[in-house]
Amino acid sequence: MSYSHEFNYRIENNFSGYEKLISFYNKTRILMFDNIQLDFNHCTWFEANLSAVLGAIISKLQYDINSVHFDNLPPQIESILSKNTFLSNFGGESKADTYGTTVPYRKFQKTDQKIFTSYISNELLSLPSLPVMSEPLKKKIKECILEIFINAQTHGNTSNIFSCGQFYPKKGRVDFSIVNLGSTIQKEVSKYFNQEIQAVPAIQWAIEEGHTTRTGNIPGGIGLSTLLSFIQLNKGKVQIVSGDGYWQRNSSGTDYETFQDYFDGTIVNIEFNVNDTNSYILSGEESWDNIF
Amino acid sequence: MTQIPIFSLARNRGIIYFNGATMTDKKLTVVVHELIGEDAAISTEDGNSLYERVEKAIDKGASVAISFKNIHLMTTAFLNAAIGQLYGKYSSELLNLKLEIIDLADTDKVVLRNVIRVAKEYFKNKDQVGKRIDIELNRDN
Repeated sequence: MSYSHEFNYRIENNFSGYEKLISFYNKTRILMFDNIQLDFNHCTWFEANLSAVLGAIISKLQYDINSVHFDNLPPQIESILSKNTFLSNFGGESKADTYGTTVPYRKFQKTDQKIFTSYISNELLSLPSLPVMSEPLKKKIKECILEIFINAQTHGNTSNIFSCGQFYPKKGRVDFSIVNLGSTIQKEVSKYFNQEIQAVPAIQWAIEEGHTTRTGNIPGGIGLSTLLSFIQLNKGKVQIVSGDGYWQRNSSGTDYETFQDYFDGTIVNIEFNVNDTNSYILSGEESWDNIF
Repeated sequence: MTQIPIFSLARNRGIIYFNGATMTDKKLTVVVHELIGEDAAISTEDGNSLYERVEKAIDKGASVAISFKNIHLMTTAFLNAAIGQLYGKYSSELLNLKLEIIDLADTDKVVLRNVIRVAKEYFKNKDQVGKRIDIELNRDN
């Protein structure tokens, strides 16, 4: 059997871009022992950090013993997906990243947090093209990404975590995506409340401080709210896709929508403003006595 | 040697009973970097290791200083397991008496304060949290 999937127009970090990827996931998710062609003939733009999403989907297809091929890749898309090493993970070539703007695509085991930490330091924060950032800003960026990795590790119910990033120099932004397949926020929250909750309200609940689906002796529910507080100061953006829910927050507010299709996993995309000049060094004026 | 009172605790409710006994003043310093073997305190597992060390010391009547010297990176997952978890067993009063945090950067102090605040709420509402948020969700929908 053979199945061909066509990617059209622009695949960007927005609702429409995620919808195209989720549609591909849905059309292929039950395939086994198939030959799958990804046709990029009419695709004019592919935002490189979304390689993490595409990689997670292809990885699942390969796990289900399908063979996946890329057809008609336009030169500019082939170039960026070679530079970020995405294509070399699927039989293609890798290419030198002359401008130093790509954070390579990687597939991690969920226990790989030490390797992941080094990857953030060595591949993202050491990008030669990044503007000079203060050490506290770098630290906050690293901590934010690690919070998401740990979240995926804790709640993802999956063995792999996929990530990829891209620096967009004209915008002064780095987009970094982390993807896990397996459970969704909707499933976790529905299980916790023992009732069916829609994906968007489930995401909205999960991002609130102190909200956690954990029930043991370790408190939680602060990682995402800490990330959102920082992103607000940084004037960045956070997008969460889980199940059929899409949720986004940036400096102009919060948006949410529902996809037609369902994604059996969670995508978190964080857009950092790397031209941020906030100091992030807090005065620490509050008394440190009796802090408990 | 200083003589100090020893406390026994009612599990999970943080009630402190003074039993009038005295003991030799003991203080343990746990250096996080040495305990976890790296400068990044990230995982819940590493947080649990620190929690277990602190728990053991407090249960033996000792005071504990946790040193974050040379820790350059920290997540709330680590702090929830290491510090937040303590509120499931000990009261704020006892922790203020027995526990000290040293060598922590000012930016990390802010994060730790948040972890402590959320942990107190978590254990305060642990039994009712499901019901309370159930109502909130229905209202939002």
